[in-house]
Amino acid sequence: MVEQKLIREDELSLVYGETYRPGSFKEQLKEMFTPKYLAFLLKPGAEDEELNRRDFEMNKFKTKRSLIRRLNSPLTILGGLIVFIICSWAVFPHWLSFIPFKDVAISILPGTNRPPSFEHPLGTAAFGRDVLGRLIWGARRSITLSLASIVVSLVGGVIFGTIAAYKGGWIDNLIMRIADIVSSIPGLILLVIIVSVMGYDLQNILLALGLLGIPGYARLMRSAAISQRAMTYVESAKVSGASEWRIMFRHILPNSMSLILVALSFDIGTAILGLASLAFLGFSQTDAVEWGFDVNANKSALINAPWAAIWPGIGIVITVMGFMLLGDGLRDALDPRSKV
Amino acid sequence: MASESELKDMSKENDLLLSVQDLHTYFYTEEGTVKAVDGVSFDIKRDEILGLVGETGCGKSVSALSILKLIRYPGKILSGKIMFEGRDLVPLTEEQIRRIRGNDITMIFQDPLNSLNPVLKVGYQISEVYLLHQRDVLQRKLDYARTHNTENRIKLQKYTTLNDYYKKYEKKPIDVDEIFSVVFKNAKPISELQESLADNETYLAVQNARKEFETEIKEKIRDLHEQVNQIPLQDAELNFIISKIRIAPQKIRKLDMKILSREIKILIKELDPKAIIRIKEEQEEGELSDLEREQIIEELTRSREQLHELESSLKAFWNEMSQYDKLVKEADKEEERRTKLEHELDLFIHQSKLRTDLILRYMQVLDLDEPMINRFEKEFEELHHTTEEELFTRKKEVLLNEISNLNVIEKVTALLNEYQEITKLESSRQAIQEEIEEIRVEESQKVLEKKKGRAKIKYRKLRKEHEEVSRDFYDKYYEHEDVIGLKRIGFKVDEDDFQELEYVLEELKRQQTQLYREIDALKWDIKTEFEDVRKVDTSNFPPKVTEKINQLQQKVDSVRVNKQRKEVLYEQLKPLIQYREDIKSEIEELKVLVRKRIKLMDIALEESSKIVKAVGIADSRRILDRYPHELSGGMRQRIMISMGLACQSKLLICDEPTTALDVTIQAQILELIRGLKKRLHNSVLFITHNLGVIYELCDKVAVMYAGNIVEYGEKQSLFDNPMHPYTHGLLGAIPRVKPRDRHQKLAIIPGMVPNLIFPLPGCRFHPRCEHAMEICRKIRPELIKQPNGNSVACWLFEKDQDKYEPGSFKKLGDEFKEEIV
Repeated sequence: MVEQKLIREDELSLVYGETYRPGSFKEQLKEMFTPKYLAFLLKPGAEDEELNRRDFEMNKFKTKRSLIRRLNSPLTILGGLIVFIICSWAVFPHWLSFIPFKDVAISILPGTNRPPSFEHPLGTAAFGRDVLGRLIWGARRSITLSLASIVVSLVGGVIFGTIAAYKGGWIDNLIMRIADIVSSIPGLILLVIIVSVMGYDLQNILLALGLLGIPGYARLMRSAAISQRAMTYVESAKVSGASEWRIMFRHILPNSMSLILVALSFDIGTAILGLASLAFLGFSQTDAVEWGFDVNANKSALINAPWAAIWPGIGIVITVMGFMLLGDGLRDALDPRSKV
Repeated sequence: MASESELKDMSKENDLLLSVQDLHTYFYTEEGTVKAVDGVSFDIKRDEILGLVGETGCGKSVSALSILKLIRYPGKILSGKIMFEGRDLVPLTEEQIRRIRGNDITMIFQDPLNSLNPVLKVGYQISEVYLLHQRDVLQRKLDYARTHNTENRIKLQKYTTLNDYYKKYEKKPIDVDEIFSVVFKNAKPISELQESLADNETYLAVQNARKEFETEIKEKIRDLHEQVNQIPLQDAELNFIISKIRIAPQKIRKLDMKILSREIKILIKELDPKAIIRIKEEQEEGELSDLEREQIIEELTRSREQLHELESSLKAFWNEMSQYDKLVKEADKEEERRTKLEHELDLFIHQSKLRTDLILRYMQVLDLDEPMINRFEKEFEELHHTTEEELFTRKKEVLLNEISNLNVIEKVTALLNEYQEITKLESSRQAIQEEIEEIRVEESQKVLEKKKGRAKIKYRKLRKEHEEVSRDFYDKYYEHEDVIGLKRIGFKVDEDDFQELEYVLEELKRQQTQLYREIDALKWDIKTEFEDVRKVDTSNFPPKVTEKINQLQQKVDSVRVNKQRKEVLYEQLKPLIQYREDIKSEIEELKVLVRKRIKLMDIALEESSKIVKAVGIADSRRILDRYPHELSGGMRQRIMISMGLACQSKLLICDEPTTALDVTIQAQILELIRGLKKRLHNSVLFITHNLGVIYELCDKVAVMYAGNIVEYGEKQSLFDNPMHPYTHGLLGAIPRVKPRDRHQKLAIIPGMVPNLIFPLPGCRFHPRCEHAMEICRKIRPELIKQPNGNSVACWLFEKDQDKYEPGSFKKLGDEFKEEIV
């Protein structure tokens, strides 16, 4: 049997001897950033005389398909810009704010609740702390907390949701009932309990937030995957001998990712707000610089110094909006079928 | 139910690939049990196409899916056997059946768009099949490729060191010791080789003579130098002169010319009559008279003309110089060629033995790569197989060539004349330069006198510009000074040198005559010279001849001795150096190969591109890089087929593969399946409702109705002589295209496919059958082999009608049919 196979292979290679090596991802990336290819990307009617007709068509086709082209809509670019700015705040606050963390968080300076001036473009909050500085320093904590907790809930939700949808039967029932139980726990109260029992420990809060987010994603993923399970390509993957895990995570998962992406972009906002609400209830570190905490702390001075509470709020809103726009654009761009 | 024994008789055991025996697949739905496949049996031999025909809902697809055990809940294979290569598939576990799926049995679905994953590239989906089933084969290939890669890496290192050496060699004269030390670390000491080369006494003697000659020349040069410069010459400088005596860089002259012409242009600009008149007027605070003006203009025009003349003469001079350069270059080339020829001549005289021995030794030492060794071997073969006569003719050609090349002498004489003229020109050039300087000084003074402020600035500007340009020039000049060599030391060509050159000419002429003489000697006796001129015993020859032989001996020795040990070694290494270009290109290829880290996926993609080509897609590279929705329907179906054939599966199940395609592509796909079957000798189970397709493609046909096979047999006999009424109906339902058949109406089988939850007792077709009989209502007919080889399940073909109740073979009335349907 084996011998027969080998002979056949040889025959095939004899008849169709040419080999094909498509480049690895790195090489493709390299190719993408060659000047020729960039011309295709950026100039609408770019032509390269060296290419023959066929190559030209292929390149045109590739550029149409490439992610950069597909992310071309202005709203997506706006979202990307916002996310980029906020993330760079989170990464380099000490360079971008020109204010050391000590002055923003701990030290007590003269000039409480001053209106915007040249020195303090967005005014000052209590103890003379710069509002702009606190906004930039606060991005770090808000973004890291929300992203970390969302990653936990996303990974868990996707795995459990896909398994439940594909396996069906008692496994599906078990997973979904557990999800129901978990989602029936009021999150904020659980958080308050955790904080009051175990202290304000960031890891615990993150884990709790993340675990509480799993059922939502699991349910979403299940609904998307169930519709994909009935498709013929799943059958044909089975026919070609793919294992269950391969079918679940190689075939069904990428097909049902678009829904998850949208939910993800929405949930980043909710996570930030969740932390903010915790801070609003008074559970936070006093030396923490965080947007939710700022909104809570400065609500008492809303009439005297509205800037102190409003700017962090605007920060939350804009961040949520940025992630939403980017997620929306990504969803469109990642689906190879959609025509952009 | 079905006659198993008969079926077995029909086909030999080892020929049988798949044998479905009495298969029952039921679906337990809420409405009731759907008996989709109820006792189906058929065989597929190796290298055979079986067509499965029937209306929709007759259980074709379900029986196909049952073979692969793809029946999902609430379906179940109730009973029956599916023997694949003597192994029952029904009791296999999921893991076991997965090995068979895609590997031994594959399936192609009706709608190719939906059966390909929309978010994965086609190449990935095909190579997935390889990754799933032939991982070990791929791994082997990958291992091979990777080891090959490491080999390449070693090769690359070797080649790059060689290449570095070559680069060095291009720039400076060869140092054999260095080669040995750098490239071939394990080389044997050169002394061995040296001994073999310098085995005769004459070598040493002539070497000494040559040294003496060299010292003589050096002394001459030294004397000359002292006479000219009155400074003693150092040894290093002397060597430098000897090595660089010929070079005359054209670039410097070009620069010189540029500066001169630029200066002239600036001067011409400054000599603007209007401006000068205006300046004069300003100075004298009154208008000039016409006479004065004319005078000024005349002066200026004259000086301008002078300048123009200067420029043109400069240009002419430049042209002459460049011509001279060309001549010098040509002479150089000729000289090179001559030296090359000398080398070759020397090689021939040296005979091949010594050379081959040496190269063999090198090969042992160097541990060369295979291609190189092959090349060497070729060379040896050539050398060993050439006869003596061939060698002589070649030698003769070489010598004649050399003589023709000695036309250099004429050229050199021409060159000498040229050179004398040029020296004159050079003096004129210096005069011109002086003139220019004078003019400039005058002009600048005039301007300075007459126009203080602006002129100053302008003059400074010009000066600066000039300085910059000249600085550049001198920078470059000094850079090249090393090359010129003569300038720094103050060595200039004098009349003595001309004498020297003339002497060289005489020498050359002498050599020419000598060579002619040599040819005479060669004509006289081939063999003696070929063996070795030095070893010829001259006592037996007449005195004239001995004289000639002696001359020849001297010549040979001198030629041999002129080549020093290193140069001979270089000759031995020459083949290595000739492959320099090959090595460069190879290095680039190797670099590409080495840089890439090969992954399993790459190998799989390579394989899949092969299979895609086999399926008739020429441009496999681009197709693999696409998503399914970017392909046309035919292409998608081709991709599906290629996925099915990826692992050379033995059985290909086609579940109506052409239904979703238009007619021309249908034909293509059918042709493809047939062609592939011919080539790969696999079996096909072809499910369709299109009898035309069946006739086109299949060897055998099974007609299914309501979960049973009603007729089964060879294609041709079934189409020629259909027996079951249902088959008749199907054949009648094919649309006719030919005009002579147009008048026939399409036969329509009345009624619908029966409800399979409550299947009828007896023959399931009887409500729609025009020949339905009493017995059809009660007893189910079995598949029985008929005399023409086909099997039919119908009571019409029952032979022993007496066995059953009387009246049971009476035709049914219409009322029964209506009742039941």
